[in-house]
Amino acid sequence: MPKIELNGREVEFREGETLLNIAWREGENVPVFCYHPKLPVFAGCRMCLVEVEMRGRKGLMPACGTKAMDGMKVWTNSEATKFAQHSVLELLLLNHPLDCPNCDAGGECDLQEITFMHGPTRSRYKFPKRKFEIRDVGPFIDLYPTRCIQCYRCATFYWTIGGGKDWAVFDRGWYTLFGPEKDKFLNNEFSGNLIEVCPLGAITGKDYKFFTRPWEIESVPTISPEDSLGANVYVDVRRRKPFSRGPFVKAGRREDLHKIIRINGRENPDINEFWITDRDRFSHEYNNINRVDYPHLKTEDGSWFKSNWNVALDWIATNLKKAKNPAIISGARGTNESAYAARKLFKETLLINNLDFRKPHLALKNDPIKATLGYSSSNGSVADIDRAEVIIIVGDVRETVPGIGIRLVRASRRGAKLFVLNPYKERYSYEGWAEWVPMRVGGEYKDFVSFLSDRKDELMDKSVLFIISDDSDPNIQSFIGRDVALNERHKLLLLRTLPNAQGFIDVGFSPEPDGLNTKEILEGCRNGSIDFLIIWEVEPLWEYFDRETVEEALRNTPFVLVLTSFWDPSTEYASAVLPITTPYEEEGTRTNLEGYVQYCKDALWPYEGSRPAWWIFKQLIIRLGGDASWRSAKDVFSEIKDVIIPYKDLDPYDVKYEERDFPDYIPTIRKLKRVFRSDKARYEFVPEEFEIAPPEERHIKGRILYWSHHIYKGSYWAFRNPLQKPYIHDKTVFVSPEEGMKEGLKDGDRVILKVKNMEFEVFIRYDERIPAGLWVFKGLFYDVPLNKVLKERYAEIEDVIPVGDAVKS
Amino acid sequence: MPKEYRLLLSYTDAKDSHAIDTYISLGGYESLRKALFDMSPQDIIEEVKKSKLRGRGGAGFPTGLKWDFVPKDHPGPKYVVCNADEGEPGTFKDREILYKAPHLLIEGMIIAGKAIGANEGYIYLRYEYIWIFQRLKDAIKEAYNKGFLGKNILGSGFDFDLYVYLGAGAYICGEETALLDSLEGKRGLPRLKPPYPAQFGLYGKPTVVNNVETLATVPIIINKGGEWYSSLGTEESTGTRLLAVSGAIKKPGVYEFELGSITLRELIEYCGGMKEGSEFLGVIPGGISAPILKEEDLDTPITMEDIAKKGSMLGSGAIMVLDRSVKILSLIRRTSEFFAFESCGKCTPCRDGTAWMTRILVDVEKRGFMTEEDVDMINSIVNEIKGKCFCALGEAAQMSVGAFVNKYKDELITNKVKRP
Ligand SMILES: Cc1cc2nc3c(=O)[nH]c(=O)nc-3n(C[C@H](O)[C@H](O)[C@H](O)COP(=O)(O)O)c2cc1C
Ligand code: SF4
Ligand code: FES
Repeated sequence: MPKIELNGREVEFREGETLLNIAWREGENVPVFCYHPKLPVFAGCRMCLVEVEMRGRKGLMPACGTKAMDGMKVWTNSEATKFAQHSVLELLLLNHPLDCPNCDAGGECDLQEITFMHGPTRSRYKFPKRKFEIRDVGPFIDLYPTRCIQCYRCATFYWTIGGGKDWAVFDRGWYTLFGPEKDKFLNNEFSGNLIEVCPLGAITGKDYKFFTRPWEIESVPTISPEDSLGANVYVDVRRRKPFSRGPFVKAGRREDLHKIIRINGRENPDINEFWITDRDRFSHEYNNINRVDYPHLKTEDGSWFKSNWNVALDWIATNLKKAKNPAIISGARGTNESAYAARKLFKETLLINNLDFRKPHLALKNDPIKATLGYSSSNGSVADIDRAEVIIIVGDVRETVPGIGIRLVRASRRGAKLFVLNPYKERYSYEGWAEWVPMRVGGEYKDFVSFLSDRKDELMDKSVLFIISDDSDPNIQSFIGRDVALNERHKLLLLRTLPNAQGFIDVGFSPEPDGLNTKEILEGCRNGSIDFLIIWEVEPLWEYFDRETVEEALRNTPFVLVLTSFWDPSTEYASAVLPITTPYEEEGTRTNLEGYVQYCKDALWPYEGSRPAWWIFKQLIIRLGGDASWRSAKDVFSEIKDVIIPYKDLDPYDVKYEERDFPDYIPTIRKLKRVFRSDKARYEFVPEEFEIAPPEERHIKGRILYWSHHIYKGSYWAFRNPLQKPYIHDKTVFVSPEEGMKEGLKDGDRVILKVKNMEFEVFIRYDERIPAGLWVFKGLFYDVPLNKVLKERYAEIEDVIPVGDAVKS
Repeated sequence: MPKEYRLLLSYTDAKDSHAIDTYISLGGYESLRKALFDMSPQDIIEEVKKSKLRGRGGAGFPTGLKWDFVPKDHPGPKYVVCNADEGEPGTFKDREILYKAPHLLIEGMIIAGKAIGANEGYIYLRYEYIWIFQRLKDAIKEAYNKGFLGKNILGSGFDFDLYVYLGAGAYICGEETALLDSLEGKRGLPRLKPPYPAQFGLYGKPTVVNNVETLATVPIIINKGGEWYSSLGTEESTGTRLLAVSGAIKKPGVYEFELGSITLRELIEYCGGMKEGSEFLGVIPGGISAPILKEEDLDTPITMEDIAKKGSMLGSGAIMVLDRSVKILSLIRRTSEFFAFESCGKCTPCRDGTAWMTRILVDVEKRGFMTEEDVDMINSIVNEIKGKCFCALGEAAQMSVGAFVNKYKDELITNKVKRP
């Protein structure tokens, strides 16, 4: 092993290690600013200079960017090193406004800490400081460029990791200014990470603005429920539930019980590395809005009766007992424990298999992936993105599971070939990370197959990763499933559009073998054969196509029980509404799209009387004479372990992490000290023979109204956040500028869309990524009930009638 | 009186010297034939190594060695890049070649391409030389027409394409790695070394970056032999050197001398001596980055090592002769301002240190004299910058401003005449 001499001691090192690595491992104090363990080395700030002697020559070298060589002598505390640290700090502080008292980073600021350790006590600079204006760069972030020390961490992150194109560096030298162009909002969905990457308070989050100080915060390690990636996060709260583990902090107000102060990334190399999307980071303010506080029962005269849990559960259980054919639909948003409890209620207590979480138009008898691969799950992993030579994406990743974008950008930078098959250009093809292969609406399967056969020679003998969202054309899914089953070098990553869909499948929240799926359940409700419907954390009126069927179904069902956290419209049809906890209020596990079963710790006290869903199912099981003696989610999981084979050896409640040698004294690096890892469920893939019947092709001529996901508006929780409103264009249909121009419409115009003899008033917004002929509506239908006419993803527009000028949405 | 040794400049003398026919009539592109047909890449590198040619861009790194560092068996493209950014204040020697003998450079680049196995070359021309841009492009077109560039040059099977790229006017883009970033279309910031451009250069591929003069010397070395070239000049500084002499002398211009054949004093004499009625103040021997030399150092021979011994450097070969009409305070202020303005902002010492110095010096200039404290302050800042910068710009700033202040300290402090 080669050796260096560090402060007079002999230290061994591995080839390629930097001096900083070695010094930190040995516990030496080397301050850094521009260095960030998750970013490429920049070596600009010069804070980490150490005195180095090599071949008789002495000099100062940046520890972060210097590879150790055999025989080097390094001093991290010599006079020269100390002088360098002192000088660099004095120079860095020349322009710094020293406005710590009103800076959000105060208390977790690298500059503050390092200045206290190594810096000068007073400034010798006698001239005016350089000043910049505070910049508002969107709903999430404020920039205070005056505080900036030009470490370039933000630019390095934004360009190389986030893959964003709208972060610029203006001017040079002492006037270097970072940020987007004037008056532009950031549009990269990883922009929130800038806050964490910035070593001081030059980039601050609006959700945290002037709100609290870090020492009043407790960080709870948990999982983001927003999408099926299951990004690892720290949820920062002021006051924890007294009966959960950890000290009960007495300080704080009552509102704090339900308030998340901010969310930060947590490192899990298998899943989100360190970076989280803005949806994970900023959707937490819904927690206080429009919540159901206590059980509500509908009285004879149609008014609500606020009840206590015992009365409510008794009444519901009586009704459930009477029911001949109950059913449950869900949005796969709960924990595995809750899903298992629901399964137990239905499959083992009521002995009825009417459970489904899929949207009606996707609820097929035969799951295409299961039919081909043998198990409905990805057989590839997120980490495969880093290995694949060719990546074929079907659908819009940015709007469904944005978190994997980090790896897509990296794959593209490393030279892998990326293709996106989608009706419109989505982010990765638009920004040039991937090649866009247009798919015609209605002819998706044909386009997909012809793309593959055209490029067969070029692609197929390489290692290929298919990334496909689970709501894309089932025929494409079966095609890929079969291909992946036959070809060892091909892998599939199935993007679940519902957050815990994988977990729901695993624990058996499915109509198999003989139950009704969502579509049939709704049909049953409509024709009266289902007399008891449980709607659990899903808003059918906003999420399902064919709203009229849904409305009729709800109207015709004698007893509708809604388990929800919010007063959403389907509660109007309910006979009883039971308040359940939102994800951050509930302990449990979730399974991500590739099978990592992760423990979510509860960060907040449950809102008023709300309870976790598994507890409600447990009470119903007991009242119906079943057996459920769980006292906590953990108990439920130990039962799951016995029953669910893929989860047999898992122990997610025992969170595993390793500690790194990173120093404590640098706040932004301290966050990276712990590396978390979770265990993966073990799925067995038994590929089966499966014939694909080529689908009939339908072509719509003229204008197509097309529905697509939206990162914020499409999320059950995120769209409720005030913070994200500016990125959500309510009542908006997106068209290409040429199409708009052809129709004589301007950006922001109000029009009436006539589809199937119904009229909808919407705003028009230009989007140059959309091809002519496509009119795209995104996200949930809470603003315009377009799902009245959308029986599937698309419909023909009969007429477009301009109403008048722009009232911008 | 020593005489000029016009090795490179001899190609610029004729009328229409930039035209390819003139160049060929002077024996141009003969070296290319020799290099293409009679020499292997390694032979060329050996020949350049034998000549002991050192880079003319400033750092003086042995060119043959630099070429030898390029991996020989690297699959995929390699590049030759000519640094025609000539941003160093006071320097105007490269433009002589670029404007008057572009084919000398083109030939040198093709030979360099053959030596390292590169099939593409770029000339990074500074924005201020936009008036040369067209001429260079024309010259390249001529060379293509004659078959010296393009596919299968002269039937040798060697391909070489050459492009000119116009910079946007930043001094830092003369630094080789910042130049590469700028050439790639990015912000021109110097890169962390190692890896050096020879391993990881343009678009991450092995790249050789050389100054115009360096590359223009290559054909001559190939033609006359490395041995012969190294017989010129001194042991450490071989060959001839273009000197861009400016300032308070009678005949400013670009001269070419054998290295070591002339001292600074003799050079001033050669250039017609000081201007009428001007009193010698000092001489900056290698562009503004080089610390100033005073009267007592004038007998230094012009070689890299001798000037280095006096605590300065030959740098880019820009020799600025200053006289007493120059206000020293303004000179210092302007120098510091230049570096502060051109600092790329990547590293703290250069970015903040130069700007701080400038602020002090602006104050001092307004006041008209310096105090002990000012000198201490400047020296203290100089110390804070020294040895801590990312690239040589910051170090140059620190050296030259420090030298000005310390060498003229007595005058600056005692000059209290203007005290109100
Ligand atoms: C701030 C700075 C500016 C530079 N400017 C130039 C320049 O304008 N022209 C040049 O040829 N070299 C310049 N250099 C030197 C180059 O970095 C590099 O050493 C040179 O191009 C190598 O060529 P050579 O080996 O032929 O000298 C500069 C260096 C620094 C640090
Ligand atoms: S010394 Fe530093 S700031 Fe100055 S030009 Fe070089 S890298 Fe940029
Ligand atoms: S230079 Fe090493 S941390 Fe910035």
